Amino acid sequence: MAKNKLDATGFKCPMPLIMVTNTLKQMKIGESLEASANDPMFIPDIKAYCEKVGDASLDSFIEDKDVTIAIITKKF
Amino acid sequence: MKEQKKEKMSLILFSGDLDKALAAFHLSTGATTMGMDSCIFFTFWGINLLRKKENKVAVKKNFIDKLFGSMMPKGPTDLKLSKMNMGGLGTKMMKKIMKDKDQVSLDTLMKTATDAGVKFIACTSSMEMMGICKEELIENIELGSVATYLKESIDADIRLFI
Repeated sequence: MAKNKLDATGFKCPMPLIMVTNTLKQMKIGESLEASANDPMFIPDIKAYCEKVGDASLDSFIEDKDVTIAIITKKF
Repeated sequence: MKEQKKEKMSLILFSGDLDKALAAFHLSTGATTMGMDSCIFFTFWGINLLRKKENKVAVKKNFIDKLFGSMMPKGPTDLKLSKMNMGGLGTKMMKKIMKDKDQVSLDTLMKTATDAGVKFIACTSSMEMMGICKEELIENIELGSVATYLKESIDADIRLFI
């Protein structure tokens, strides 16, 4: 169960990703973040971030029609 | 872990239009989020984005500079769309649409960019041409010249002119 939670619903690109990275900065290595957003580009954004920066990984995500929930783990 | 030289994006914001400024700030904020260094070089009409809404510091200016200054937008909230402005109606409508669709406004985006560490550089020769003093501009910006821009851009991986 992720200890850290972030609700980025009601925000559109690029805000959800900015909010996620800001939260990641405050987290410790190995901790997970449960982030929810309703921006359609949320998962592609997170994927691109993880691939490019590499300090976090997208473990899993659930895409619903209203909200997307992503579990992200901080790697270093 | 990919440990290499930090990538960089340098952007020239020449236009003082709402839509173009939005694109510039979206890109630069996105770049810092993706772990890149990012800077915006404000020149010509772009300088208007850095102007304070209200300037309390008295500045001495000649008549032309004053007139010119009063006709140009002051800060991000004053900007107009580059197309379909329709005497301000189009801009008003676009701002409403943005709000309804959860898009952040330009001034919030500008603040986000500053917080994210985007470097703002104001072109001094443009300022002089348009009769704008540094007292009229917001804080935490750097004043620069062509050389400053070139120094920032020579090793940049992405360079854009907006």
